[in-house]
Amino acid sequence: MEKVLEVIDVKKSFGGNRVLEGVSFSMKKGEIVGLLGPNGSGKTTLLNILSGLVRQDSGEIRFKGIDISRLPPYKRARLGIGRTFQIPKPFWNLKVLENVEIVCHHIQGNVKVEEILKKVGLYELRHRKGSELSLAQRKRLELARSLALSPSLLLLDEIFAGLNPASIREIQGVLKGLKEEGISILMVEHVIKALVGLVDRVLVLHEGKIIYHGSLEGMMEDKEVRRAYLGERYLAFEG
Amino acid sequence: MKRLSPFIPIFILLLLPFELNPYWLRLLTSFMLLACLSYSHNLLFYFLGYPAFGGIAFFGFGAYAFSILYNSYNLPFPLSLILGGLSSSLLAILVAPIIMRLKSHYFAIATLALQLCLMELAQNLEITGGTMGIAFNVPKDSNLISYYSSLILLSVLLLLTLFLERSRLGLTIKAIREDEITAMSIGINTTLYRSLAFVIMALFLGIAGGVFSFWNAYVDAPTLFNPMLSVKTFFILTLSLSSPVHGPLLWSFIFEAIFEMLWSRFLVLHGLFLGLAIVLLILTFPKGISWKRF
Repeated sequence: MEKVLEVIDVKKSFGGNRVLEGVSFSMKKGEIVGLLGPNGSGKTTLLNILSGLVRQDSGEIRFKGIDISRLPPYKRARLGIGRTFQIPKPFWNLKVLENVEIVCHHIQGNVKVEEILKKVGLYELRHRKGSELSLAQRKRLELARSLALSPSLLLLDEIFAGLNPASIREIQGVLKGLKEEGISILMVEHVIKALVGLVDRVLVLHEGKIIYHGSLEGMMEDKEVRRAYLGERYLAFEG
Repeated sequence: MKRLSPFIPIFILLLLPFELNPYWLRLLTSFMLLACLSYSHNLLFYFLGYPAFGGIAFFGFGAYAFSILYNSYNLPFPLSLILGGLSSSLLAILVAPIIMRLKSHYFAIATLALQLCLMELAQNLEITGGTMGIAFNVPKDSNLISYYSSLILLSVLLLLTLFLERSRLGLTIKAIREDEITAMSIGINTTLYRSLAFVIMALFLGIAGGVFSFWNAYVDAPTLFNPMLSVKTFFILTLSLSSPVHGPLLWSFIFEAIFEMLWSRFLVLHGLFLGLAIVLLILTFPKGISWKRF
């Protein structure tokens, strides 16, 4: 199957702090990959590098075969890489409709804003301002804005964080629909339960390295992952 | 009718000169130039969220460029004005790669530094007349020419503000103001739009500087780079925050009226009273006053 994303030996340091130490992986079309790991393991930095907000020190990023390692964020977005943020950032003073419309002004192609809003369940709220939305609605709005880019790859940063079970189920449904449309999704997530039945595989980052690459179920049993999350003393206690 | 409302004062101003004596003509020109400064600065301040506290640098630069072209090279008045504006834009293009990297108060300080640098240069260069400045002969009807030049400039700036308030371009620029990182991640070339707004602001400030020079018939550095101009402008813009189309026009008029009243009655203490008036107004209306209230 066609490779949408290839990350090759990406390294990043902030001062003396090495955040990513040679991260490599690839994603196929229509694949949902969970990017997991304890706090500070480099997940958000990796998303920032992929979306172009942070430049890697070395390594290469290829999107649909094109080297995008040095492209600015807006060019990556126009190529079809959408992203959401850990803390949703709607344009507070713009209406929901305007928040999505504005994306369409900067990309080529015919995007139907109203369809996107219906897809994420925000059509009824299209005339409300970004500041008038709840957390769950803001997250949907971020998703809608990313979808207006007609993306091939979505980078989702903790989209389930802070949501109630009903909202989680609804967004899971939307993401499954996107997968069927052939959109690849790389999602950073702490709510592991929400990934069950959704992701095709997971990557676990710890101290800037990928320590696990495989199924979600297998991850639970992996000793390295358990050590990363629970620590040496807990493993010793487990025997 | 609602859409035309900001142009009602413009129509009145268009017909007024036939009824006015030179004093009122000069006073209204002064008011319109202040409104032009406010609208120009608002392109960056309101739409993009960048406070160019030293934006007067481009006003002064354009004024000197106009004065030199009109006085020393005898170029026609309209051509000198446009070239004065373009020279300010060119200056903006040259400094934008450095200044537009900065944000909020760092950006404000950088523009102030530019203003002070240009002021020092103007006071020490031969071409700008050094501390003596440049005095030049103006035609008999210079008051009327200045009046209508200010009015044309004000109308263009008002139209531009209305366009930005209601267009896709304005929406894009406002998105950058709201959150630049998000704007980048949805495909907006933020550097391009920021630089564009900066250069356009400089263009209009430069032209306004040219009109001011002609109106004043004399330019020197302390007059052109006077920090009081920035204080007046940003006071007006703060009060206009919730009404970017009508606000600068209304508040420039009120401010100029207060200033003139204080100046003519309290020659020595007018600065003190003006300061108190500014503090009182800002404290009373910290978020500006919306035109909708009227």
